[in-house]
Amino acid sequence: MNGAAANNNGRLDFARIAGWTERGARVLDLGCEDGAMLAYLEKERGARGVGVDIDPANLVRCLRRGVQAVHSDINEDLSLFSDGSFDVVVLSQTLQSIKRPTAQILREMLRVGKAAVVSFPNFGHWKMRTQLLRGKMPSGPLLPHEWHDTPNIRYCTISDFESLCRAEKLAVTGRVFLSGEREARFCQNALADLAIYKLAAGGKA
Amino acid sequence: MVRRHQGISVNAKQQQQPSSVGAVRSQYADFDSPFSFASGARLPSWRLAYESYGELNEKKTNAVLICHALSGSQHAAGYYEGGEESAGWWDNFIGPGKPVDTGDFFVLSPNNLGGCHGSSGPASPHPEDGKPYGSRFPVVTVEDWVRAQAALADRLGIQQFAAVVGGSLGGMQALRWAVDYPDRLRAAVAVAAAAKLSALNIAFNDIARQAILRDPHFHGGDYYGRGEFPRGGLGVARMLGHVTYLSGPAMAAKFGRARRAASARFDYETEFEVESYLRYQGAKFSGVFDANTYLLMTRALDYFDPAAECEGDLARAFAKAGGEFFLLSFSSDWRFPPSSSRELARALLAAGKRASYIEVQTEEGHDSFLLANPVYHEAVRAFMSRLAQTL
Repeated sequence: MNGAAANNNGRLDFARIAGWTERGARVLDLGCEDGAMLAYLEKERGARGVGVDIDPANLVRCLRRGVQAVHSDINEDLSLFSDGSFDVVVLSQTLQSIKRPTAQILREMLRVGKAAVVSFPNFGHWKMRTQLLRGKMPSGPLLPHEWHDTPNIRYCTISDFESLCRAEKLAVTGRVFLSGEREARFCQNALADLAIYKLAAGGKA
Repeated sequence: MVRRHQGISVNAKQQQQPSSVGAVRSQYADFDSPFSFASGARLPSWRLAYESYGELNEKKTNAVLICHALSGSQHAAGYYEGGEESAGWWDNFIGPGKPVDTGDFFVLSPNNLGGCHGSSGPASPHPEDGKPYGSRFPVVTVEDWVRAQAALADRLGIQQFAAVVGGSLGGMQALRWAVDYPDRLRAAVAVAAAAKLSALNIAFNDIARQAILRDPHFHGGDYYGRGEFPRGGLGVARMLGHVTYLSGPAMAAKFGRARRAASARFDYETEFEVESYLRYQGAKFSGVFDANTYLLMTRALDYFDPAAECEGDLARAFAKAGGEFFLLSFSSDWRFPPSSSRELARALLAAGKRASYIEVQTEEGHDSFLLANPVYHEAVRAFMSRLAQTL
């Protein structure tokens, strides 16, 4: 949803998500924008994708490139989609702007899909921290908006997200941390600007 | 061919100004073998009137079937030579550079069985006595229409349509096509459609029918040749229908409480602008449409319910459907509201079908499907041009 610029050219996040996508998998992309990721997954993994977006202009872009697209507000619910109807449900760089409680949308993603893939900008990145230390509200390539004019309402760090998964008994089955065009291999909560998680329903809520 | 424009790839051809398919005329296909209706009734022989626009390609893969709604006809696009105000009912939608581009597609637009524009209908002569069918014309269903359309496709050598496209009742035909002839279409485009009518919708239809049935000139449907016609009843039916195709805000904006006279007349003559408009619409329609056809069309709408064949399970009804689907709805449409299209989308996705869905923000109610809303038209254009690339 917001400034995908940092990983835009190579789209390393797309490549990592593709790596978690089985050949021929059914993929639901929540907040699909112009359908670029689904087109990529269809091409690379033979995936059968469905995009969801609230903006008709984005849906038209999907149709134009042959990506199946459905109009829905993911802030409301995923009632258009029946239980277990997808292999993977993706929420790419959109989590931070969803009004519903995060655990709720994650649970619903796992109702609809066997696996959920969530990526979000890491608010614990050192550049964020230093901006805050200087007394300024952080912003960056992945969170480009000013505090007074932003769709983003849920900022979290990698550490925060891990805590939520533990508390909600969501099994983390994959983690990728990116720093620009590279993977962050250590001190990720401070060095990664984008986190990508693969989740499975681990137990009762 | 394809260039980048403000981040959106635009087909260069689409930059051309949309234009009309030009002067058109109706054609007729006569069938000598009997037509069996879902009701069990039969027509010994029958005829479909149709128009076509664009060129059928050599492999006959670029045909698009247009299904008309309640009051439509085969005259979807173009104009009749010498006919004033004779533009087709979907002329903004079909033609060179339009959402259904006749540069890409051969567009086939039949008048449905039971119609009053040249296809076999209640006013057609019965082969036995040469008198109009009148009340003898069978009640027709969406399934019947689709089967008749398939026979027309056979006649023209079209094995598979690139798309079957319709709005409202026409959208229901597109859905029925996908279920009944899964191998004979690549895509179904259903605009402002529904899986079935609600009680409210059936109620409106029945009030419309009652207006016709209670007209003293109706004579049980056998009014032809009597020199009188149930115009009053048909006009009221149309007034009612017309209101339900608009929206409260659109009517408020168009008419408000505007009066034709400065002060109240204290009688029941035309006083408010909205009355004047509706009476005009009713009178105009009842002069060109057949009351029996109106009865048949509304009944076909009532009966449409593909899920009923699967214990109400719509997803199961779509299990055997073929082709991909594109659904559109309009935010202000309360006759076939977005929730109806969402129900269709949900069932199609549950059935594992390829389905896309867009809700378009409009003010004009159900009528939006006939109007040139830019988002609506651009969405259909995107879908259809993509389809054209895969022919």
